[in-house]
Amino acid sequence: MKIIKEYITGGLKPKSINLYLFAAFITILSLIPVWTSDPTILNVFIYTFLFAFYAASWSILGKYAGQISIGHSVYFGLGAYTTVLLYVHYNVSPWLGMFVGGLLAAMVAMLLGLPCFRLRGLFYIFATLAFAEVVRIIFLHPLRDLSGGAEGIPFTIGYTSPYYFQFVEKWPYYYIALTMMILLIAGLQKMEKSRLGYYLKAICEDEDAAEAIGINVLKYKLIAAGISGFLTAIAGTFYVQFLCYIGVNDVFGIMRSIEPVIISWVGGSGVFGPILGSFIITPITEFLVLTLGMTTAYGLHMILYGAILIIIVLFMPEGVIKPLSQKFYIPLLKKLSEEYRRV
Amino acid sequence: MVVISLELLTKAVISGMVLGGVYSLLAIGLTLITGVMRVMNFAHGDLMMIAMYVTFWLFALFNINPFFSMTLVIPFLFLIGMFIQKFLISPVRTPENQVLITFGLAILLENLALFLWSPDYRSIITPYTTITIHFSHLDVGLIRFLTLIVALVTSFSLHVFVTRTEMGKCIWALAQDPEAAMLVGIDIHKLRLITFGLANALVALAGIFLAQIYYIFPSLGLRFTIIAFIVVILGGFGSVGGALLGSFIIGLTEALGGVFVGIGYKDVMVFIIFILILLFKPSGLFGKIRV
Repeated sequence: MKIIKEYITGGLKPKSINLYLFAAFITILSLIPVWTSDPTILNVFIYTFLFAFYAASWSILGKYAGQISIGHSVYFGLGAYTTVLLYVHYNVSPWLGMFVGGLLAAMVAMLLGLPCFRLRGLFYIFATLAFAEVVRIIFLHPLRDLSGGAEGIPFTIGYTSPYYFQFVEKWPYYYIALTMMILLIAGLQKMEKSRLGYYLKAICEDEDAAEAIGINVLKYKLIAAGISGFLTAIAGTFYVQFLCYIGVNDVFGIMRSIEPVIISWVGGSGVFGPILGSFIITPITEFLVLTLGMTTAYGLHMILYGAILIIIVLFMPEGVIKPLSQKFYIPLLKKLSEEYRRV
Repeated sequence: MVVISLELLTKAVISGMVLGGVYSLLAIGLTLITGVMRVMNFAHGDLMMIAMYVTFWLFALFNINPFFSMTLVIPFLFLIGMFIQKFLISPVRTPENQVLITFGLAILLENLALFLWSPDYRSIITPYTTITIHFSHLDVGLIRFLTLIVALVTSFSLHVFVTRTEMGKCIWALAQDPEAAMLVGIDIHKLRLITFGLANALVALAGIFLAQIYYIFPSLGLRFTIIAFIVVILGGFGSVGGALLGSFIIGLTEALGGVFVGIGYKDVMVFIIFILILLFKPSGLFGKIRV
C-alpha cells in the first residue's frame, strides 16, 4: 500500500513499481528449483530463460535498430561450434570458448553488415536469410569432417564439472540461464537510456533523418550487429552445453533463425517484449514436444509458429505487451489508486 | 581431380539451361510481385511445392497426367495468390510486417506438407519420363527439353503482355509509381490481386514441370525461394528480361559449379555471385525500379 500511496502522491513513479514487481518475479523464479526438482518443469524454465535471452539479443538488432535479421542462426551456431570444437580438440573450457565464439560471431556479424547494411528493409531481410542458409550448407557438406554433419557431435563427459560447463543435475543450468537473462535485462535497460540506445531508436524510426542530424548510421548499425551477434553466440553455447550435443541442422537450421523473430514479435518491443514472448511461446513449444513426441511435434509446432506469426502480424503488429499493459496493467494501477483514495 | 570431358561439359550446360528455365518461371513471378507490390514473398518456393504436391496427388490418386492437371493446378494457384494478397498482404501496413507474414506462411506451408505427407521424396513417373531426344550425339530428356521451351515461350509472352497490352501497361505503371498510377485512374487493388494471381500461376507452371524432372519433398521450397530472390536481385526488380537472363546465369553457375568445383559447393558459388551483386551493383543488371 505504501508503494501505491507514493505513486499517487507522485513520490514513486510507475517505474519503481515495475522494479518492485520485477524483483518479486525474479525472487519467485529463483525459488522454483528449491520447490521442485522435477526435470521436466526445470527444462521448460531453462528453455524459456534461454530463448528469452536469445530473443532479447536478437532484438538489439531486430527491434532497437530495426534491422530484421532472419539469419541469427549463423551467430548461434558459430558460438556453439567454436566452443565445442575448442573443447573437443584442445580441451579449452567452454567458459573461455564462449567468449572466443562470441567475438568470432560479432566479427562475422559486422563483416556481413558491411555489405548488407547498405540495403534497406526487404533486401536486408533476404540477405540475412540467404547467408544463414549458405553457412548451414557449408557446415553440412564441405566442413563435414569438422562439424560432424547432420549427425553432429555428442560430447557429454558424464559428471558434474563446473570448469567444463557440464552438470548432471538441472539446477545449475537453471540458475546460469536465469542469471544470463537478468543480466541481459539489466544491460538492455541501461542501453535504452544510453547514447547508443537513443541513436538506434532514431535509426529505427527514420534512417534518413538520423543520418541528417549527424548520426553515423552504418557505424551504429554495425555496433548493434556486433553486440547482438556476441550475445547470440553465448546463447548458442549455453544451448549446446545444456544438450551435450551439437548438430549442424540443430544450431544452423532455419528454425533457430525464426525463433527469436517470432518470440520478439509476439512479445512486442522494449526490454520486456522478448522476455514476455518467450514466457508465452517456449512453454507452448515444450508442451507440444512433451505430449506429441519429438518427431510429430516438430512439424506441428512449426505449423503453430507459422500460424502464430501470421496472426500476430495481422491482428497485433505491436506484440502482446502493448495491449496487455494498456488493457490490464495501467487500469490495474488506476484501480488500485482509486481504491486507496476511497479508504 | 575429375577429368572433364566435352560430353560432361555439354551435359552440365544443358542441365544448367533446364534449371535456368525453371528458375525463370519462378523469378518472373517474383519480379512481378516485388515490382508491383514492393513485397518479398517468402512463400514463393513453398507455393511451388504445394503446386508440385497437387500435381503429384492428382497423378497418383486419379491418374491425371500432369499436362492435363495443369488446367486445374494453375487456376488453383491463381486463386490462392489472390487470396494471399487480399487477406494476408493488403491488410498489413509496413513492408517489414508484410515480409514477416509471407515468412509465416512459408513456415506454415512447409510444415503442413511435412505433417500431412511425411518427408519422403516422391516423384512422378509417366510413360514419357524416359523418352529422350537426340541432337547429333547428345541425349536430352523430352520433359527437360519441353521445360526449357515452355519457360522461354512463357517469358516472351509475359514480356509482350507487360509491354504491349493495356493491362500489362497498367501493371508496369503501378510498378513504376503506385501513386501516379492511382491518380490516372488505375484500380490498383484489383491489379495487385491479378498480379499476385498471375505470379502464382507462373509458380504453378514451374511446379508442374519441376515435379516431373525433380523430386517432390516438403522442404524444397526455401531453396527455390532463395534462388528466385537472387535471380530477381541479379536481374533487377520488375525486369522480365533481367529475370530471364539472371535465371540462366544462376542455373549455369549451379550446374557448372557442381561439375568443376563439387556438388557441395554449388550453392556457395551462387551465393558468392549474390554477394558480388550486392557489393557492386545492388540495383541489378537491368534494374529500373527503386524499391
